[in-house]
Amino acid sequence: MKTRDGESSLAPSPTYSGERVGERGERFERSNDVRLLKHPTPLPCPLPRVRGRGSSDWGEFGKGIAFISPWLVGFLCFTAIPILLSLYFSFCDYPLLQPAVFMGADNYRELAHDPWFWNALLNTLKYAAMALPAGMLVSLGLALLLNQKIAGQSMYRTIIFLPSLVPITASAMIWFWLFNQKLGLLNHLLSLIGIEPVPWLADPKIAMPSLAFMSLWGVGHTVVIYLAGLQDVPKDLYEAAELDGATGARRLWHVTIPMISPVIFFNLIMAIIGTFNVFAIPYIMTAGGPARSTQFYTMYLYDNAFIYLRMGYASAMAWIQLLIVLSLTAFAFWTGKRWVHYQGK
Amino acid sequence: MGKDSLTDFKSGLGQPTTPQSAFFVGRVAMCQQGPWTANYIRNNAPDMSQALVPFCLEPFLPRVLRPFNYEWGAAAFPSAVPGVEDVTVCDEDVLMIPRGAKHPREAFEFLAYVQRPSVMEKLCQSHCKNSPLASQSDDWVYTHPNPHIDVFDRLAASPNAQSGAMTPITSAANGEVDVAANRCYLLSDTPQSALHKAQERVDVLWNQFLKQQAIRK
Repeated sequence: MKTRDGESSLAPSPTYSGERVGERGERFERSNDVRLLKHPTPLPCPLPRVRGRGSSDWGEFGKGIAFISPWLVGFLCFTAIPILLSLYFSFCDYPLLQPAVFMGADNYRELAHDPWFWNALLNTLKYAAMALPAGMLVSLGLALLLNQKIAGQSMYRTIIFLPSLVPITASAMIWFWLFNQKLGLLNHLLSLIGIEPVPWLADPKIAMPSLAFMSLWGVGHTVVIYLAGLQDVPKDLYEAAELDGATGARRLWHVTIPMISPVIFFNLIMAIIGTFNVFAIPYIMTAGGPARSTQFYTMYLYDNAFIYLRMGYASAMAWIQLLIVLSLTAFAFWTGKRWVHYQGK
Repeated sequence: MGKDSLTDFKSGLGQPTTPQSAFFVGRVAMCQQGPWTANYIRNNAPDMSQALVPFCLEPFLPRVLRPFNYEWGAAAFPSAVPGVEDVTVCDEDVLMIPRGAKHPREAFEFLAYVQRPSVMEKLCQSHCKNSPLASQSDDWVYTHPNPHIDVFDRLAASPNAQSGAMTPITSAANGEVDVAANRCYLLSDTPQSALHKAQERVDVLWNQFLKQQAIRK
């Protein structure tokens, strides 16, 4: 094995005995640690000496810090410090216009007894339970369709992606009118087949599924990621599966899905985070109504922070939200060990 | 009639300040609004304010004919308690100089300027609102673009005019009342029960606020 400089590399290869053997036959006890050579052979060039961190290293370190300082300052001022402050504020009464006063765990205790907090959390979980699997399935289905070699493929891909480019506010207004009980296009289409008008956003039982249905409008980004994953699946695997007599469905289940499982996993994590951050669309379309049946976690958090001016309470909510999302993500990672297959492993 | 019919009817109504307002397009006969609605009517439904002659000719119209130039009127909301008339809610815009302002003297001069009767009247007439000052000029009512400003002046001067409680929990309390109204409208609760739940929640908020104030002191 030669390096770019023409030198022989010392990268050892593993043997079944557990020892590692270099290119020239030298034996290693473990890893590529040259100090553990049993029978060292003369090296073609001296190894670089490992030095302590001298003044020139600190100079290099300082230069590195200076180069990344624009990002570092931004990160500290606008991310790290606000995050730490919000943790402190979550233990305070902080009405924004007055100084924060430490209250201990009062905010957390109050949250435990706040019916609207539980209502918002439950609404968000309900939405996640509907929008998350629906979004994953629809986007995967669309990606599989768009991966077929058909005429006008790029046009279909563009059409699917286009809604993702529409600003959220515009999308919300479009769907607000599409869902309108009296004047909306959806009810007009239903009326053509004799179905009574549906109060898409006015009935507490239907409003949440309507918002979940609307979320499918923005699956374009996910479809693009799935498409990239699908195009990375080696063709020889399909050929091998075909030789083994696998049909289309079996090829999908035994080849495609396992091969794109890291992509599915990535989209799942992003979807978990995304569903817990849904804010703008329900805020514009329903403002949490009717009777707070579509009030999401982030909406109640926003109301507490900027309408009721209870920044401490809102900070406590934000930290609980972080813990929930972290727990769900950790759970997804735990289950991922069983069903996510990385190539080369 | 019924919940579904009402929901269906409401879904076809536009926002109150837009040309699609249910009142402007004639889908509802009356609405509960403030004096500023006259301004929205002038801009969004001008035909309602020039039934006889256009805006520009209105000053030449005899005063007795002026009310006929408008296809809308204003009146105090019917009182729920017999004998207690002209009940209304007064809101106010507040001008203030924030702490740390760079030019507080100039800001104060500006406030003093805005408070001059002539300037305040002009400002209020531009908004079609009534004046917050105790007295107005003689031709205030006649030159005001809101033809029913006298009704709003009378309401503002009423002893039964109340302003909203200025507490940090007012917004949250309003939210509770909104939910109670929604529950009644959706027939998911009785008015008595819905209001009782709202009261309970407001009591909790109020007690928490008092507790926080005590800690601050």
